[in-house]
Amino acid sequence: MKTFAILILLLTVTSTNAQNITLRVLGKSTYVEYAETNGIIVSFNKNELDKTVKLSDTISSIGIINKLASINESITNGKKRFRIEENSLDLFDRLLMICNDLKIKVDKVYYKLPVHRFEDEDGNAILALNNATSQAKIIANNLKYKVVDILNIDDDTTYADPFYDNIDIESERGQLLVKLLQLLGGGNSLHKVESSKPIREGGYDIWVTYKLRKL
Amino acid sequence: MKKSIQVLILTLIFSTSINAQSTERFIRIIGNAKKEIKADRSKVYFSISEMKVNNYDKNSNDVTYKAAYNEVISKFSEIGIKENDIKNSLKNRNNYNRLKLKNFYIETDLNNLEKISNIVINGFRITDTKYIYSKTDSNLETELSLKAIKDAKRKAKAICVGINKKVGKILNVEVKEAGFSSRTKENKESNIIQTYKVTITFKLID
Repeated sequence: MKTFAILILLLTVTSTNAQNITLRVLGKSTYVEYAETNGIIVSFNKNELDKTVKLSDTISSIGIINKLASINESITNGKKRFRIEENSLDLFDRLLMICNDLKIKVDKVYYKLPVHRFEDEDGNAILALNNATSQAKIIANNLKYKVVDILNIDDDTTYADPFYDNIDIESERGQLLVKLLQLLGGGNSLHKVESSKPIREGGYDIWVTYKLRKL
Repeated sequence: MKKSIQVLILTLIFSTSINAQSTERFIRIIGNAKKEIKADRSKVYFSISEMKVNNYDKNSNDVTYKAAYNEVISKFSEIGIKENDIKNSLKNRNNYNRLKLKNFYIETDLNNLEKISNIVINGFRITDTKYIYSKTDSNLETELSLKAIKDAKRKAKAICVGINKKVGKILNVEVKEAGFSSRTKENKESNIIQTYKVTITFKLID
C-alpha cells in the first residue's frame, strides 16, 4: 500500500512537471559610445622646430588650452611628433586651418573615445535580459504557454553565434578553429581610445532560460 | 510484482533527475578587469649604411660604412650606450640596394629614446621601435583576478535586483582570459592594457 502511494505521488509530480517546458532565449542589447574630443598628430623636421613655438603661441591665442604633447612612439630620425587635443569643434577646425597656414604636416586626425567602463555593462546586461523576456513572452504566448519564472541566466555567449553550429567544438579540429578565431578577434577595439570613427559601437548578449506553464 | 514496482520507481526518479539538470538554477556572469601597464625599456632597430654622393645635393659626400659606423658608436657612447650593447638584427633588406648596409638593434632605457632620435648622421636610420615590458608585477594577476570577481558579483547583483531574485553562493569559477606569463613582452605601444576575464556561476535564489 505504501509503495502504491509513493508511485501515485511520483506519477502526479511527473505529470505536473510535464505541463512545464523550458525556453532558452538569447537576449541582445546594443550601445554606442561617442567621441569626447578631437585630436591631431603633427610632425616637424628637426630644422623646423621653430614652428612648434609658432603653433603653440597661435593655438593658445585662439583659446586652445591644451599644450602640444610630445610623442615618443615610433621615433624616427630627425623628426619630432606632437599631439594636440581639443573638444570644441569650432576651435578644432581653426586648429586644422592654422596647421595648413603654417605648412605643418598633419600625420593623423583622430577622435578620442571615452574609456570603456565595465560598470556601464550592468545596464546593457539588464537591457539584454529585458529583450530576452520580451522574446520569451511572445514565443510563450504563441505556444499557449505562460512565462512563470527565470531558471537560469548565462552571460557566457561565446558560442551563441550560429557560425559555431557547424563546428564540433569538442573535437580537436573544432578546438583549433575556436583558438584561431579567438586569435583573430584579439584586435579588440574595446579599450582603444583613439579611433578614426567618432563612435564605438558594441553589443551585449545574454542567454536566459525560462520556465513556461501551459495556459 | 514487487520487483517491477521497484524498477518503475527507479525509472521515474531517474527521469525526474534528468529533468532537474535542464532546469538548474544559476546565474553565470563574466567578470572583467583591466589595468594600463607602462613599458620599462625599449628596443630601437636601426640600420647603418655607406652613402654615395647625391648629384642633386651639393653638400652631400661619399661616406664609407666604417665611417658611418664609427660615428654612430661615438654618438651612442655620449648617451651611455656601449658598442657591446649593439646587437645584429636579422632584418630583410632590399635586394636591389647595392650599398653596404647592416641592421642592428639596441635595448635601452626610455629616457634615451629622444636622445637617439636626435642623432642625425649620414647613413644612420632608425627603422623601428618596440617597447619592452620586462618588469612583471607578481601582484598584478591577483589584483586583476580579484577585480574581475568583484565585477562579476556586482553585475550579477544588478541583474538579480531587476528580476526580484538573489545571488547565492558561488558554484564555479573559470578563468577565461589572463595572458600572464614570465616571458618578456614586446609591443609597438609604450602603454598596453592588461585584461583579465573570469566566468563565475552563482546559485540563483528566489
